[in-house]
Amino acid sequence: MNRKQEEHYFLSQEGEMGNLIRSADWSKTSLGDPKNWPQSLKTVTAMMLSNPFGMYIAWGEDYTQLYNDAFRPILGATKHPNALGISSRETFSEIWDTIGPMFSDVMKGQAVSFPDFKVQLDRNGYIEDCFFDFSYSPIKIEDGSIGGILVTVIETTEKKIVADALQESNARFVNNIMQAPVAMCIFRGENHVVEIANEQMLELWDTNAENIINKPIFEVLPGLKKQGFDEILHSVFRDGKKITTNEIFVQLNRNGQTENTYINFVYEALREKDGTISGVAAIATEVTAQVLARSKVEESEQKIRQLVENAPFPIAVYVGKEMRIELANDSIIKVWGKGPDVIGKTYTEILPELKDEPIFKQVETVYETGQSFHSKNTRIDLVVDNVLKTSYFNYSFTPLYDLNGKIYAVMNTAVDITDLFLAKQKIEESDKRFRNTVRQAPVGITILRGPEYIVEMANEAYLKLIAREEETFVGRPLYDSLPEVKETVSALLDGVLNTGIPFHGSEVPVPLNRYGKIETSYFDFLYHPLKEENGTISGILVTATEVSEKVEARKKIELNEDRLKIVVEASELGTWELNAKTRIPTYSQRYLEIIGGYTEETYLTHQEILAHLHPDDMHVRNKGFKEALKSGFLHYEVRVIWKDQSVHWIEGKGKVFYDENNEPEKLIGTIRDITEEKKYQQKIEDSEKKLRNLIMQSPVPKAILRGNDFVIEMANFVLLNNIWKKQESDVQGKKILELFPELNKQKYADLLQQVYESGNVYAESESLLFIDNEKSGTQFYVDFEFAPLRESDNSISGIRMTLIDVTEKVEARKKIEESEKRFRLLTESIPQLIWETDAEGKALFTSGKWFEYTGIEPSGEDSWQEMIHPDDFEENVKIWQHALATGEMYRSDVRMRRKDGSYRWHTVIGEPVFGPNNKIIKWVGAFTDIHTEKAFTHELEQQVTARTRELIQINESLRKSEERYHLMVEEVQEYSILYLNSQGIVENWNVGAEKIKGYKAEEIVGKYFAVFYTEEDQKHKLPEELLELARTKGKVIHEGWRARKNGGLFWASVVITAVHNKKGDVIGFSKVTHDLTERKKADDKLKMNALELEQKNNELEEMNKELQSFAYISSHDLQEPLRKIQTFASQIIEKESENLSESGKDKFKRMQNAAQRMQTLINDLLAYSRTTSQERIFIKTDLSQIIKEVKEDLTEELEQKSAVIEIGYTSEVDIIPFQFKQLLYNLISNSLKFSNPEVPIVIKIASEIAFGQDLAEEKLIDAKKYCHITVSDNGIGFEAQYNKKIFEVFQRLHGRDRYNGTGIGLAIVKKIVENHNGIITASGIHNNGATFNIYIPVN
Amino acid sequence: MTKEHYYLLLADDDEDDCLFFKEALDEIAISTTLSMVHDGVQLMDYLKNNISNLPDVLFLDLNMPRKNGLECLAEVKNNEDLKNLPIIIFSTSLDAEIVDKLYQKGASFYVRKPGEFSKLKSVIEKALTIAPEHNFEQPERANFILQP
Repeated sequence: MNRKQEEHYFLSQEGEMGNLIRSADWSKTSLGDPKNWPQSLKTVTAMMLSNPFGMYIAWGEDYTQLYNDAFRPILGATKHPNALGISSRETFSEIWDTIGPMFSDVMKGQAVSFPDFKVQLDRNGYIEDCFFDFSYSPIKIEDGSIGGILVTVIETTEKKIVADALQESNARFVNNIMQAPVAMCIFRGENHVVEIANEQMLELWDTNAENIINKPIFEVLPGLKKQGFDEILHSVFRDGKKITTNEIFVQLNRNGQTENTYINFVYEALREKDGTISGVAAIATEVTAQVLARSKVEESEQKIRQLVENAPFPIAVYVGKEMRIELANDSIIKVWGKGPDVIGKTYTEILPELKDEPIFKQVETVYETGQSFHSKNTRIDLVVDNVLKTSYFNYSFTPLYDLNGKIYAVMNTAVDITDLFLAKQKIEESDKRFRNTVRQAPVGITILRGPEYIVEMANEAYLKLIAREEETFVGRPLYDSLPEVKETVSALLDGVLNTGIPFHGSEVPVPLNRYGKIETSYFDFLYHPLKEENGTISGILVTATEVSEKVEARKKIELNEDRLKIVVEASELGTWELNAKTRIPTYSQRYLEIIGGYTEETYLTHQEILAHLHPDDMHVRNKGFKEALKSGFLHYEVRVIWKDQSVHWIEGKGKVFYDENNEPEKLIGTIRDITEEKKYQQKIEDSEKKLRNLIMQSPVPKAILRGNDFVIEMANFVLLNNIWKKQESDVQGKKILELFPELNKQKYADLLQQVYESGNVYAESESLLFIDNEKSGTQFYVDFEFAPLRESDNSISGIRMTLIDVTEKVEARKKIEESEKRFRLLTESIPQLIWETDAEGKALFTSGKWFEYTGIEPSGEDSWQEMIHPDDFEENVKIWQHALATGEMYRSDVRMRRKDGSYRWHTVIGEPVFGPNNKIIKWVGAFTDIHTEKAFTHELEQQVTARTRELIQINESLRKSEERYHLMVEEVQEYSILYLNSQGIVENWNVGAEKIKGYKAEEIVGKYFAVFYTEEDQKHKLPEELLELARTKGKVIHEGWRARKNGGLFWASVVITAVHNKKGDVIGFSKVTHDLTERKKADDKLKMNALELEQKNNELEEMNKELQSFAYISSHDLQEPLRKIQTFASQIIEKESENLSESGKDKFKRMQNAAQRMQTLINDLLAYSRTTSQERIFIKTDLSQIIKEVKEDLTEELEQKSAVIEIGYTSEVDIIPFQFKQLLYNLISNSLKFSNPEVPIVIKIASEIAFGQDLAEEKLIDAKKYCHITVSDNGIGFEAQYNKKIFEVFQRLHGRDRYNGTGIGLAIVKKIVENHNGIITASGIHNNGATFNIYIPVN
Repeated sequence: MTKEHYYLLLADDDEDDCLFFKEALDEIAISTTLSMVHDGVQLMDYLKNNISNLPDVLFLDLNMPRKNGLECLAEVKNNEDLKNLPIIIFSTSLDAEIVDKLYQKGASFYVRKPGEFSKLKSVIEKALTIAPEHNFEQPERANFILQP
């Protein structure tokens, strides 16, 4: 090969391809050597090689390929460089199907271009999407044909990508807009053509896309122009400045109407890359709702504002932490007193005087925490109009929330309560003062409230008055604390409370329970009503003072005065008055009387008066007067000598009255003649002395002790000498326990105390008393008594002591006791059971052995009884009683029960012990065990007794039975009872025998008995026969004729019984004969009667049968002609009707009817007769069965009348089924017939079993059981008066024209019931149904 | 088995009744031939003489002289040759006991002679329609009495 290339100008380019092309061997290709290439190819190649864009030539039919450097990458590493010079077909074989035809098209001269053709190239180490504009243009050769294809490639990847991206972003952008939740649209250009408008926007405009898109907005929606939008759009478009318009009121046509909407618009300019504004984006948000809402809020706010403004009480709103006053109404402005200009200032600013007050802090807290703050009665000092003013407020701070729920302000409300507060204070103060006054008042004051008189308050004085404590008294109803006053004061209090009229009580006695005692005290009190503002009386003010003392004192004085008056009047007092200074006396007449026995009016001087004074007593008087002047009281008793020289005692009493200087001014007194008194006094003294003597000399030791230290006032001689062995002087006035200290150790000291305190007498007998004398101690046994001595006021002032010395007695007795003891010991040592009783027999003592043996202590009668054998007890007691009574020695043998329960024979002896005067004082005895001996003899005795008793009994009974027998035999009259000896001789006779046989006893006894028999029988030896039979058989019974004494015969029943002795020999016969004649007659009669009866019965039956057949036949025979009549009549009517006149036909019909009726009558009569004559066979049948059968028989009629039969409880009962069926049939038929056409027929049938006494029918037997059947209907019923008549034969209650029937139905029913031995009753109410009650006896 | 033509025998002593029966038969749709006897003895003689030619049905009145219906019935039913003769009792009265007895004795049906001619016709018609359906066999006691 010629490698040396010619240098062609068109291949002169540098670059790979240039090289390759230059160096390629073109001769192998269809192109051939490049110098031979066509010119156009050369040109194109040259151009290609120098072109920076990728180019490619496919020349010729072979599409030989040439391409430049820039085209290389498009080919890719796999195709380049092989592609050079070879066919496109080869290189692009994989897509030749696609591009082949394209190539051929281009070869035909058609240029093709593919913009943005995607080619995946590996240029930078990875596969990339590259986009190229491919263009295929034909290369013409000179001759105008297409020589080849020139493919130019321009990479558009970037552009594409950008374009794509742009498109994408555009699309996204549009999407965003379209899907934006707000209305958005894009206007382009000056005319604001709607480029994009999303749904919302469309909605806003109330239009759809077609109308708007790509149209100038203001053309499509000229309305918008009016609202100034065009200005805005223009502005934005022009200036590029964003414009926001809020809450534009837009009237839109929407939903077919013009709506007022509020829209927020944002208009932004859309710039191009170069910054020019190409359009406007508009975003619109509808805020109609918000605006409306807000306007509402504004409205309400406005309202509130107004409210607040006009509120009469202070309101302010402080906004924010700084508490800026946003709102302050007139009221609060006034309060602040800082002038009207406060809005906008802070709270703290305007009220600096409060800077130390907690108020601001409070507001802060509210603002922060959201907790409202309330304050009451708070004092606030404000500078109002430059004056410091003290006010009282109830105020509140409340948080205010904004729309987001955050606290944005605090609202302050307040109420000026200054006046109120001050007023209240004043009231409180005055109240307090009042209370204090009341409290400290010397008068008892209490305030009662309400109808319960609750004690509102009570001052000290009052509490003291009523002796109650404040805690328990105040606050409770009055009567709770002072129930005792209720009676007295309740009416008064109520009166005041109700009427309002105050009550003054003066010296009112009121019972009060003070210090545990109820006393009546006197009070002055005032009840004053307390009125409320409205005039109602709510309480009572009580003031009270106790005036008891005063009252009592006065009462006493009054009393005394009265008394005095009485005394003076009634008395024989003489009054006198002596002027202490002048010594001039004044005196009453009586005075003179007493002094000197003056009876007439006289005047005596002081001296003269004194002259009457008994000279011996002068000193007494003087002393008295001296005393009086000292003490103020005068009292003396002196003698006076009357003018008749009689001596009298007088008592003078008086009182000294003092003047202002406390000097005695006068003496006022009385004198009294006490002569008699004195005498009495003497007497008393004398008698006292006597008494004293008596006591002193009493033989019974007595002493009187006074006081609780038991001072011996008096002790009589006996006591002194015998017991105390002391002198009177030793003991008088001394304390007993001091004198006899040994008493302390003994019980006496305590007893004295006890008696003195309790006031109870104490006595004791035979008490040991030890008195320690100097010489020796002596022991006494005393009966003593301590008795309280009472004063006139019942208080115990001393003790009277009485002693009786019983020492001897006691000692004697003790001796006896000793000896007794010794005695007892003795008794223990002997085996006998020793006992001792008192004179009455009561056990005093039993020896130990006694207890050992019996195991019990004998305590009374019973125990004795227990120990003695019951058989022996009575006997023993008898003997004992005898002994007690007579004093004879007591001796008995008894069986004594040992403690193991067995009895042993004892001999008991007892001897009386005589006391003084020979009276028995006790019994002493012993039991000696004699069991063994006794038992035996006793037994024997027992047996003998028993035997004897037996024998006696037997004898007795024998005798008795004989007696009875005799009596019996004697008395029986109906029977002849006689005794024959073994020979047949009559041995005895009885009344009956006499009656029957006619013989008297004396006539027949001793005769042979055959005389009773008839001659015939005697001839035939009947008597002997019978006797023999009796003998052999023991008894023979025979009925036959017997002969009486008078020869008359009687029919006798005879029983002959043989009597045997013990050996069995027949010793005689008893013969009992009974006269049967009468009975026989009766019997015969009965037989005859029975025969007759039978005969009659048979006759009856015969008759019945005849009757039945008669009834049957007659009915049958009667029916027959009847039937004929009916049939003939029917035939005639049928056949000859045209020959008959109407009248004729009618008559025939009537004839038929009559015949029919007769038929029915005959049927019924037949039924009736059948019921009487038929046999009565009772079968136990279930009623419901019968009812069922009847229902079946009446099916048609029931159906026809739509009748219902209600069957209640049914039972089984003995009935004649056939008849009973007839009965029910008749009753039910009746119910159907006699029904009310308007009322659906209901027939009720029920039955029950009950006793006659439980059923309502009198005729029933109480104790018998019945089946009670009721058949009732709701038909026309019947009048009660017919309830018996309806059962009569042929009785009807209605005319034939209304209800047909023969009137036999119920008669049959009744007959059937009677056949059942039952009863039927009917009850009916006219037009209200009928009820039939059937009672059938059951077994 | 229903027949087209029935040969009936009526035993009734009453002239009028016989007349009625005949007239009724004439007026009903069923084709019949009627023979009559007028007492029980006559009846039995007739039957015995006509054993080979017994009637299809015997309508038997109860009250007949010489021998009454009941006796005849008994005799017929006891007679081997005669016992299959269907007998419908035809009587004036209706006595339950008697009816029972007749039923017991084997009568096929009991008809009470109605008083109305039309009823007579219908009951006879019934007898000759219902009874043959069951071959004149005695029905249940409840259906023994034929009602017009």
